[in-house]
Amino acid sequence: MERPENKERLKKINQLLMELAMGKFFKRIERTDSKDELEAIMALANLVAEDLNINLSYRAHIDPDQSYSCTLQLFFVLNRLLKIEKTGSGVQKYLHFKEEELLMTSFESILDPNSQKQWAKAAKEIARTSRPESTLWLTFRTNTGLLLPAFCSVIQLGVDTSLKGRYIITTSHVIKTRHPVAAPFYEGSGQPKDGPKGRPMGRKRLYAPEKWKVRNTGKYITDHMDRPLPKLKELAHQFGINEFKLKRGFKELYGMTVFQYLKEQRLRKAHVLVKFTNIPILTITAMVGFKQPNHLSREFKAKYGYRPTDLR
Amino acid sequence: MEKCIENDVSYLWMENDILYIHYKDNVDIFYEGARKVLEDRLLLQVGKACPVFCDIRGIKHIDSGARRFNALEGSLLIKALALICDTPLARTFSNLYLYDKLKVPTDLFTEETPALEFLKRYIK
Repeated sequence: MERPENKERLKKINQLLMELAMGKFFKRIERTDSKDELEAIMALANLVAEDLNINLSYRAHIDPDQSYSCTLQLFFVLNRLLKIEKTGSGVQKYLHFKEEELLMTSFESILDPNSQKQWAKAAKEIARTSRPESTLWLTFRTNTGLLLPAFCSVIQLGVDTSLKGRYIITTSHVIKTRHPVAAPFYEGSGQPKDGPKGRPMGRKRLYAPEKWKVRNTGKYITDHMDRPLPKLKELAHQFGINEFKLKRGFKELYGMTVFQYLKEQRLRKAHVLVKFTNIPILTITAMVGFKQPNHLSREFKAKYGYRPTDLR
Repeated sequence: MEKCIENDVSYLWMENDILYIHYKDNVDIFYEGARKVLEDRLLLQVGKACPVFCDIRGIKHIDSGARRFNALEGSLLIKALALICDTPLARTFSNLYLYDKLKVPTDLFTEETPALEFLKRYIK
């Protein structure tokens, strides 16, 4: 643990945990090829950050009384040699580089090694096909040593603009806006209902242990998808919650009703079995818990846009 | 050993009714990689469930998209699963998979022989 490389790795873990504690879930630790305990902690810290970014921000803890907006995170203008000519303020905020530190440096110098390869390949492809816009995942190196993975849009500017031959690269993310949702979004009277301290009254949220119970119910449903679903009241009681919380929990955790979730899981399984095996569709129908092949076919078509038989 | 399939992240082959998956060294697994492993696995299994020997010691990172895929689609048509993990990193990924996966008999091993003994109970 006292070796300098381990101290450096511990420092990175500390940095990432600080970011998470501040509610910033974008950053990641650059991984090494080691497979020891420290590396396992680094991998877990990255996974936690990734899950928090997906679940906490967008799904599990989404606050129904707030509105959410998509905002620009990083912005770069590159010249035809793929060197940075201009950056947006987000580059300093999220990557911790001042604009002057990056001007006329190659874009790939702020990417991690895997993304450097991907970027080289993508840039060639974009130039070859003259495609006006492409998207790809890239991982940026920040000036503090952590990584920031982001879904990037690469826009190639056409000959008819004053910036011809240049590229714009942007990434965006979702933020909670300061203002609650405007009146028309409220159900009922159309006016926000105020709570005791003048705050708009939100729907009651589930506590963490209840969310775990809902999650375990989801796992149970997936494990038993070949059988008919028990009554929701019975299912809820089996996992120690009431029917109302089960229904609310599914909406909150999975964004759908219990029945929609079951159908979704059944169709995912059916899709794999239809596409990659020769198991008869009648057998698959029973394996995934649909009563009739035509019912499976109808739901399959609604989700994927084609029928199971189209894959055979 | 019968036909061996290689994709970007792993080698797969069938031997004595056991499906072997050996992940390459220092690979990052994303959704596409997980999907390809499943596709190749089911090609070798020709639609039949079988025991699976999975050496995950090479995995460096597996993202949440791949984990969610492996939890459902990636667990299909597996009679039993032996995960080979002899490093703290591989054990961490194994424990995460154990929590996510469908109901499939699964055990963790540091050596091949006991893993194969475990899987042989599920042949035929």
